[in-house]
Amino acid sequence: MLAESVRLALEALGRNALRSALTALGILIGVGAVITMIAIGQGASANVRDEIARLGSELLTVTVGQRRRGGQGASIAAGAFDYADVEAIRREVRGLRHVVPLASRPGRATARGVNWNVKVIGTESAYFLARGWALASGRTMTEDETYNGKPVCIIGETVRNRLFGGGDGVGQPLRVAGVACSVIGVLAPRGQSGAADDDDNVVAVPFDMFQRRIQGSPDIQGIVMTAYATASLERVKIALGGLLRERRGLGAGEADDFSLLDMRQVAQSMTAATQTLTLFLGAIAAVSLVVGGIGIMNIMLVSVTERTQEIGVRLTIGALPSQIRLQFLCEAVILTVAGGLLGIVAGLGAAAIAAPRLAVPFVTDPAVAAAALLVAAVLGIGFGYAPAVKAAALDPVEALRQR
Amino acid sequence: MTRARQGQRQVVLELARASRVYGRAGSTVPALRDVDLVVTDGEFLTIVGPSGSGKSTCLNLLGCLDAPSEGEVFLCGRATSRLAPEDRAALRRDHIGFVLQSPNLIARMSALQNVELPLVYRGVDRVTRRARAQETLRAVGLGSRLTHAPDELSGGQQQRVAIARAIVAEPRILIADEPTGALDTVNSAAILNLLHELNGALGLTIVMVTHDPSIAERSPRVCVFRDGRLVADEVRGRRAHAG
Ligand SMILES: Nc1ncnc2c1ncn2[C@@H]1O[C@H](COP(=O)(O)OP(=O)(O)OP(=O)(O)O)[C@@H](O)[C@H]1O
Ligand SMILES: [Mg+2]
Repeated sequence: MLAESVRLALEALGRNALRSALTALGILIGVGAVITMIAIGQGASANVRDEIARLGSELLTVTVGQRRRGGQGASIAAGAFDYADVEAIRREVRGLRHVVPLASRPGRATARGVNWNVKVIGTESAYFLARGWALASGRTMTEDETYNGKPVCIIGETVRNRLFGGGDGVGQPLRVAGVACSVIGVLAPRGQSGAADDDDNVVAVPFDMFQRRIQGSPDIQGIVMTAYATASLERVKIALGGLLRERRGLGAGEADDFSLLDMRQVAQSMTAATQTLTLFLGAIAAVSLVVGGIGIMNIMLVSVTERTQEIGVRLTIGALPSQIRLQFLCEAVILTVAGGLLGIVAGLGAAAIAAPRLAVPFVTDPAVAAAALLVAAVLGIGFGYAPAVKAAALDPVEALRQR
Repeated sequence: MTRARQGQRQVVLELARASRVYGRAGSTVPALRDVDLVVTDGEFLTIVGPSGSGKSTCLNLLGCLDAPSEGEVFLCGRATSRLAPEDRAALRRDHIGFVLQSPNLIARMSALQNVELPLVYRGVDRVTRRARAQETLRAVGLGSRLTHAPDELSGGQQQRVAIARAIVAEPRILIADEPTGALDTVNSAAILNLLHELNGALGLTIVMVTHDPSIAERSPRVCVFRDGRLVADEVRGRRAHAG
């Protein structure tokens, strides 16, 4: 009987094709909006995952001051680290592959008469290993250069592009924060060049030189480390925390005045943020889906009223009320499912167009499409039920009298 | 294959002190009052009476389209007054065909599709129902108009399609409310001939309402209604009936 009801429903919808199409359009737009929003949200999540993967999940950083919950905001004032801390960590904490001091400040770089504002960092060559950052050309710093304050520098892709244009700049002189040095290497681009938070807009100089000639103090704001294995991260963090507390003379009741951050934490908070975003976008889009469902109900109710006499005729030639109900329910579900299918196609199309403009990958998720279709069908049953019951409850004699 | 037999025939329809009152508390219209009526298998019964006398109301009760306010209606021996709508519809489907004053064909469906529809609701498969619908349309003289839409047919032709639709599922009883009311005399005579043919050849029980005295003339049994009451029940011709 279901097959026949579907056939009868298709027949009835076909007799009013334009109206059927317009009704399905409401669902199409609703489902399309949900699909687009979720695809964009998932693309953003994929971006975050890629970012984390690129940074490396074994990465661990310790910085001065305690980050408030929520990340941003003021830090509690605290004394900086010094090189003795770095050496103590190397000596006493097991499971760490790299332990690298990192100091940084904004500064101006000048070459060939061009000025450019950059982030100047003082570090050791292991820093690039720790962050998995390869050289595009030239070489990294030697130990002699690192610890004896030789005036050399390694530049990021953005800096190379601004100051040396087409050339690679290796061997060229460059003034950074008032110190003349020569370029020995160029870092491979990390991507997102030109964005506000540009990793590639960097000039790296030997740690020793940075302390003495640029910063003028032995302070270290951060230490970058990598563990041998992600699994040992928790244990390493405990050992590291204990060591730093001891070295900084913190009593049992005092809070940490430094922050330990591993990439999993960063990943978690970023993932949570994008998931919230996806959910939020999806919820807004879902409202239009409900509006579409109400449109279906409205049209189906009108349709029952219009076809009252026809329903009366069907009841006199052998239709059971249950068959009438099933037919109207099928009409509603066919409308929503057809709208849903087209909505999935339209939504994915819109996402495919929008994704590159929003700098997120175009992600398709069959589970989301299936869920959208299911929701469409449920909407059809939900909003088609009242009209179907109304049609089935018609009194045949009364219905026949309608004109 | 005639079901007509000599002697006592089976009762197919019966009204027992049936009344039907329209409207709710306050203003009520008694459309039918205390009607007793027995229809036996293979009968051709004609109902006449002035407008508003309760003829259609009576047919609706006989055809299980409506339930009496008081009294009982028996269809093939089964009491129907307290059935749920779904069960009443099933009983109707199994025993009764309807022809109304206007053909009430479904627009934008061909004559053939219209005649197939009752079989769709009875779960008959596609091939069988197509064959039976064609056969029935041929039997009412419309073999050459199968694919015509209702608005491509004359009033008389449309009414023939409606009759084909009413009998395609082979009901035992045909209820016809002024089936010739909208037709000219030529068409109306043709439809009436068709009904007599169905009654004679198939033994189909027919209960028909008409306003036309010349049509009532041809009927073997005539019931007269006035003010919701059955005031006369004349049996003439060869089929004697003790009503
Ligand atoms: N649905 C209804 N609601 C209220 N009153 C009704 C309804 N249907 C019929 N009536 C009333 O019941 C009475 C009988 O109506 P019915 O339709 O049976 O008459 P009829 O004999 O078929 O008349 P006609 O020859 O004009 O068709 C009339 O007075 C009519 O007004
Ligand atoms: Mg009438």
